[in-house]
Amino acid sequence: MSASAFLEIFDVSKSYGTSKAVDSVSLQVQEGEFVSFLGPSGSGKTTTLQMIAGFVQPDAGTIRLGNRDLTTVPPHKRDIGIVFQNYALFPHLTVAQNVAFPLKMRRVAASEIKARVSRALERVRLADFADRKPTTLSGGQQQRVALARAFVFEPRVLLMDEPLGALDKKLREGLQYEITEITHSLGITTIYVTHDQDEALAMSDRIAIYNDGAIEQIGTGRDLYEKPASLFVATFMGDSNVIPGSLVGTDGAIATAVGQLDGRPAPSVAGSGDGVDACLLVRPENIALVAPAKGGVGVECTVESIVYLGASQRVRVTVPGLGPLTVAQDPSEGLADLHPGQRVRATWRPTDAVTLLGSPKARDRTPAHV
Amino acid sequence: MTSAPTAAATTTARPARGRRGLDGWALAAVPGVLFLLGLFAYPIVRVLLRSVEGGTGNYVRLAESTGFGKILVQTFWIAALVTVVCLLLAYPYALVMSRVGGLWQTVLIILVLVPVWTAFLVRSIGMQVLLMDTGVINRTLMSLGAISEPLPLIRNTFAVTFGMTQILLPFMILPIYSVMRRVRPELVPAALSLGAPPWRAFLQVYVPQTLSGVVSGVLLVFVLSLGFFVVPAILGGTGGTMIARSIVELANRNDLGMASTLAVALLATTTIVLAVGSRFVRLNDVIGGRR
Repeated sequence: MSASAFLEIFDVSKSYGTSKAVDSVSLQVQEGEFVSFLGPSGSGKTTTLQMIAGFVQPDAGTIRLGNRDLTTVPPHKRDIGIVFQNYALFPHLTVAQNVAFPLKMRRVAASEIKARVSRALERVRLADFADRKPTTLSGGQQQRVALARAFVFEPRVLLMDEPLGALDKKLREGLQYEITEITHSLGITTIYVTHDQDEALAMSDRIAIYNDGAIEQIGTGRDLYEKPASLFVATFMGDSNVIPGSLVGTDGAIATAVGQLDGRPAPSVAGSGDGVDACLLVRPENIALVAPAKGGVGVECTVESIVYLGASQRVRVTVPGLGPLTVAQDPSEGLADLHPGQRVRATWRPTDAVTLLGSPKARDRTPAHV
Repeated sequence: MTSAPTAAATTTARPARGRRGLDGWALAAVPGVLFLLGLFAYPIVRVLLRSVEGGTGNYVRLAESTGFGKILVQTFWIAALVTVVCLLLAYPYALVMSRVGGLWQTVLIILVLVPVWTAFLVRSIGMQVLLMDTGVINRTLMSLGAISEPLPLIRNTFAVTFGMTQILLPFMILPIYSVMRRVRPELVPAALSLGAPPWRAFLQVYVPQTLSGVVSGVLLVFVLSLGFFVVPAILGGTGGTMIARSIVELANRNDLGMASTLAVALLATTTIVLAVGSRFVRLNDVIGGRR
């Protein structure tokens, strides 16, 4: 445990019946940091959030905030702001009364409440809506009220549980920017739960990838994308091509149906011997299509289809004995007049390929969506 | 149920409905309209007219008589008492019913509904057996030696309040429950996270969300209580007389003028209560309509 961690979750577990919702999760968050919990639904991210909030009691483990043990502190004494997916605004109170609520609970003087509420509402650009009832506002506006209400009392930590989940895509992007702008300028430590990887990448200092009740990997978006520690992280973050095989030596080479391929070994590969199930991960944008005669690391293949997407195009190729791969390329670069049926060679730099333990499940084997 | 409050509720509720164009299907409403006109509107008009037959004498009699005045006050007092007791019993019951799941919820709902399906009269007589001087409660207590004289459980305000509460409780529970079910489950956690202790989160965030159900239940029970006849007749004796019973007695004595006058007084006060109440809650909600 590092002494400088502000929010510290240590070996926390929670079971419901026989299923483990959260299984020995540990996490350290620095003051002012924005950390996202990203993962499929049911992977334990919301349960972890609810344990930080105090709504769910962990079966084991401790949660500390600024050197205070929070594990048994009731929710209303934790000083943690929460933004819920469904806004959770109080329908019988006006916008201003909603934002004033946490200050009233803290017995702040009336004049100060007034000043802080109007400052908070200006901050979320809703000063003109102070006397309206929340139900007369749009979804995006309601969520901004909820945000103002959650930060107006200067909580030690701000928790957000898929706050943009109910909004449409355009609105989401605007609010993503607005939220990070506010949390950074106020310096609030923030935990943000989402299942949208673009959202996590756009907003977070670090991302914790949840799978099956545990954190698979935590790091910056770039770390997770470029140096995935597991096959799950690799396939969850972004599009990927996964070539199955088995380890040869310890330098990241694997034997596949189309011969031996080199890759950069993930840390978990160290210590595993020859013949262990492993696979090679290559991102679509790291593959180049060249004339078959040209050499380089890669495989021979046939062009299947080409989808033009404006800034890029997605080429689907089939490798005999291996299956399909997806290639993302700049339409103006690479081979001229690429067409379906053409024989080409898919190549990549060995440093762009990552060797990971495990064999892809049928689901993961399908290459990136086109 | 008594006819006065039902008729009042129906007539007051009508303008609240949206006006749409009528088509041939409107004819389907004709039998219902005729039924109500013939069996509610016409008799009410007859009662009104009869009360002023031969001038305002009956109303003068009502105003001057201390007896009728006392009964009217007692009627309101018992109705208020029943309403308060029902609310105190119903709110926690509905709260639990809206929280528990599966089997327990089914059990609690059945406990509310089965009595509604049983006749008032049968239940009133059942309660008589329970409460009378030689009834189950007094006999048991006396045989245990806890008391030597029977407790005054019957022929008084207590008996009437007890009996009416037993019968009207479902009408308080159901509207409150239906509103509680619609309260968003994240509101209380949100209040807690904002620093509200559990009791403040309950009183300042949860309870306000359920007020429309409370007002609905209060109006329903209060108005139904005002016109109650069966329970006061069986359990009230001389101590727990309510106005509906006086009306029936006057009618039996063939004093139809005075009976009509009391009926009009009851209808008028009921209408006032509904009018005041409907300022707080839409009548559509009381009779089961949704926004």
